Amino acid sequence: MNEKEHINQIAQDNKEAFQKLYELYSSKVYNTIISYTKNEEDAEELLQDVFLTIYNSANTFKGESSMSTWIYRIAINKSLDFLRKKNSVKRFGIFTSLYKKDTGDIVHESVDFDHPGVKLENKENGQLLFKAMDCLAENQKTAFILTQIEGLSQQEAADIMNTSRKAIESLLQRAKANLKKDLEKYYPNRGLQ
Amino acid sequence: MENWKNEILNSLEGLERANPPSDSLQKIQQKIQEQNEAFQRQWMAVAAAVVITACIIIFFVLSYNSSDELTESTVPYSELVSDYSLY
Repeated sequence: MNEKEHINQIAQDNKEAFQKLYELYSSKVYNTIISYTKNEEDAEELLQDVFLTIYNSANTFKGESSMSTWIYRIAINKSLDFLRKKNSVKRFGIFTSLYKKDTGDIVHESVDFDHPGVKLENKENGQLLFKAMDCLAENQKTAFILTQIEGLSQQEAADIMNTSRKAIESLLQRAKANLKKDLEKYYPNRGLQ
Repeated sequence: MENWKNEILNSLEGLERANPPSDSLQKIQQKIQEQNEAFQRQWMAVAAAVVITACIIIFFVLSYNSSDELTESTVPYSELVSDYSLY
């Protein structure tokens, strides 16, 4: 059964086909989503939302991209929507926001996040990295998550983000440079120890 | 100086995939079922509304027609003829 047939089966309410798709993609989707939400409960909620969307829009899948690309796109769009909503709510929250001293921009204290797959010896550094990722622009963050966390190739990330491999390379370079800048800002004394 | 930043950036090397909770599929299937049932209920409500509206329209059309017939039958033809003094 090819991908198009598989999705057609789901559109026809074939429960086995849906279960098979879930088994193939649930951990990929969840791993991607949790890197955005940095919270297991929100990630689970979004995972359900993504698979419900896949079920509801299965009849619109044209097969122009691979099934994997299509599913990753849904997951990323849902995650970015979630972050936008969360940030807009926070922006109006008097008690949850603090004003940055130098620019006056509103910033938020993010909770330390332990990715369940990070090695024990890297836990602390992993927390710092996920915290610093908040500073990245949406496309830089997506390129970073897809290639560095999800382990996709630059070409696969380019297909998902509908751009070129060169553009992904450039986004990654900028993402890494911004992360370094942000880490310096948060921990100015760390390199001196 | 750069070393500690690179260490942090490389801290995700060898990262294992996070797996969703084991009951997620069940929850999704339940949501799909609820969604399908709600959709069915919605259609049944729409169908019921259409049937009720059609019944009301048919009732009014039939009662209007029957009142026309009644009017026609109650006017005696001979009276009409005499009123106009045709003879």
